[in-house]
Amino acid sequence: MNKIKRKEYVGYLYILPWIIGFLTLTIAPFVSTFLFSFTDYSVLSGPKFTGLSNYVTMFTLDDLFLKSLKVTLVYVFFSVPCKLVFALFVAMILNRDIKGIGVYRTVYYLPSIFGGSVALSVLWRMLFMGDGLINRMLATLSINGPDWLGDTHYSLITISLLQVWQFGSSMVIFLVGLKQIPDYLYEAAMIDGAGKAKRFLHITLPLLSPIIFFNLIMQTINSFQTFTAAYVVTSGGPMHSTYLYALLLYDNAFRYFKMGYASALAWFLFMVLLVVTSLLFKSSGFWLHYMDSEN
Amino acid sequence: MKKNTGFFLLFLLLSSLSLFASGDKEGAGAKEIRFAWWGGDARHQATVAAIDAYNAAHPETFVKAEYQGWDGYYDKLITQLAAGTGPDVFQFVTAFFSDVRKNPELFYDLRKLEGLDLTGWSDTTLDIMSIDGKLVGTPLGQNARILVYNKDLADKLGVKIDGYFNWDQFHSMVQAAKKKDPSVVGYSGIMDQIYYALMGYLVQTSGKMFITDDVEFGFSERNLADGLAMMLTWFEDGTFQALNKTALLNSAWSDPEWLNGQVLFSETPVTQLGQQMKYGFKADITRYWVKDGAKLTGNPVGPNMMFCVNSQTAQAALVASTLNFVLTGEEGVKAMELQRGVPSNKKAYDVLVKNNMIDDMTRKAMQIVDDTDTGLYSFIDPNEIQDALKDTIQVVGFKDQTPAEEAKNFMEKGNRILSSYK
Repeated sequence: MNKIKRKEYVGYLYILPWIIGFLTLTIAPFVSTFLFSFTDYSVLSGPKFTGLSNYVTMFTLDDLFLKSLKVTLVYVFFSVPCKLVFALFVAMILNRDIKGIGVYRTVYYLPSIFGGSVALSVLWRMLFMGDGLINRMLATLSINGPDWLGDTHYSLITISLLQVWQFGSSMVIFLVGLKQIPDYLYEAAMIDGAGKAKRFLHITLPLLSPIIFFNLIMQTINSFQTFTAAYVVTSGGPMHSTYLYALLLYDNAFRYFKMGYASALAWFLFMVLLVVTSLLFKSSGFWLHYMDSEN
Repeated sequence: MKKNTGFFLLFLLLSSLSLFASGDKEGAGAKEIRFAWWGGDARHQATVAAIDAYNAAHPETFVKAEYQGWDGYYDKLITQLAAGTGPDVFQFVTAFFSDVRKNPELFYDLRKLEGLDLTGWSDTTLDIMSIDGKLVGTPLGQNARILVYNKDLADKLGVKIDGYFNWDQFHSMVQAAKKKDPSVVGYSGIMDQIYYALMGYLVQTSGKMFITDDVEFGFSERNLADGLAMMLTWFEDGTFQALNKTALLNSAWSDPEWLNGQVLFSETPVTQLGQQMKYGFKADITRYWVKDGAKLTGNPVGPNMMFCVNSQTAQAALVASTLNFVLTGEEGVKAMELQRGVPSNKKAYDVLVKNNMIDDMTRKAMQIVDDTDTGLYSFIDPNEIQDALKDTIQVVGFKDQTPAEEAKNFMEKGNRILSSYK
């Protein structure tokens, strides 16, 4: 009994730094923002309890709240499927046994190493500015390119493309999933006369569905929280066309010092993510297949 | 063995935690202060040189420089001050007063800072840096917003700029230039610049400050609707640069049309004059256009930047000595150059004049400042109001709403925001 307890004690000691970090940097802010969301708190002065007023303000007085929520939903519903489709497409190409495939895989993964970095956002801005590289290249083909970032019709799509371009991590996970699908299934299907499309629809997609599900959940959560791209590339403009929810939260917290209101915004986002994730889990029963599942 | 492993891990953990605990304690007991500011490379180099000179002359103490760009400076500073870990001395600007006016306890009352030499400033200048009678900062450079124009372009198009013109004359001047070259734009449409132009219009037409002492707008909804309607016309006829071309730009320095010599006018705060005049064309400066007979111009004239002292500093004497050195001492003033504008402190100004460090363009800018009204702000426009008015300009500029509709929307939203500052 003592030995078991001692083993546990050593185990906890190993993960103690993580536990301390988790409690102080995750749980404490999590709880405190919930409490602050019911207060008027400017950082410089102590919080004053205001009940549900921050939540009421959000829905009744803040026109930017609904605007940024709408922009974020469009961003998520455009960028996440595009990113997953593109990542799967590239993963299937890189799943072939050709010479130097390791190099290709590394090159395609490179954009993701930079993550949501400022440098990458600055690069994106330079590429898509009115007289940026993209429009200059189009001009050589006698095409008058649009104002990708300055026109409200294109700005959100341009920002979304930055998210799509960082498909590397999803691609690697897809690649792992593709490698796990046994070859004999494809061979059997070929013998039965199934073409490429049928093999993809009836073997690849069903057996890859757990991976798709994982990527979908992770990328959805990630996209709802996107900040750097909109902040650096467009500052949310023009006309709030790229004013993502994280930007609204940042402005209220660190530019207007309305920490109470920003906390309420953060908690609303948390609830939205909870609902969206729950819906995805609920829907997974209809399209998720596990290889070892009897069904 | 396992017992030893446990103790070893515990030892490692405690050792690492003790490292954290001792991180900032180096030299505890020694006289040391932190001096923070924002700026560009030139300002950093000048200020670091002044601080190095101070440290060399006072080896028994140490002033630590903490500097960065504008982005994030204020957020970080306020967070540090709120957490009680703020720097001892920090650069500040009156634009932030609206946020901190309810918290003057964050600042040391500089009239009570023993040893600090305030004799080089007039009482009027010191009043600008006061919150409820408490002197919270030492005034730095004289400031105002002035027009910069492309002299090469103006000469080529035969535009004569004699220094004083009203709104109509400015508009006619640009339209006359456009007749000769339709590709020319009158005024750089960077949002900050359009914002200050609109603010000037509102102050000049209402005759009251943008935001009054009672924390209310000095202008009416009608004033705003008229101003927006005029701006919309100016966007359409090319007097102002189109907003979609400047939507992503923060300053004229990054405006390709201005840099390529297609824009006649831009503007700058006097404190940034040194950076602004480095173009591939000959540039000159002049006074902002003003409505005839206006009681106030809406141009924030006077020093707006300052060095503040953290009320929690434990080294008040060292702070006073350092500020005296960089603000009024010959060596410090020379090292600081004109990186925060022409000093409002007479002693510092005399040092620069004696050492021939004020160029002709700067003298001209100072003359413009002197000729502009001293309509100082007692309440500064908070970020939230600025953002709301900039949104309004965009909505009208992109023709999403009419000027009258958007003026109504702004007044409703703006009044709601202002009520939280009362």
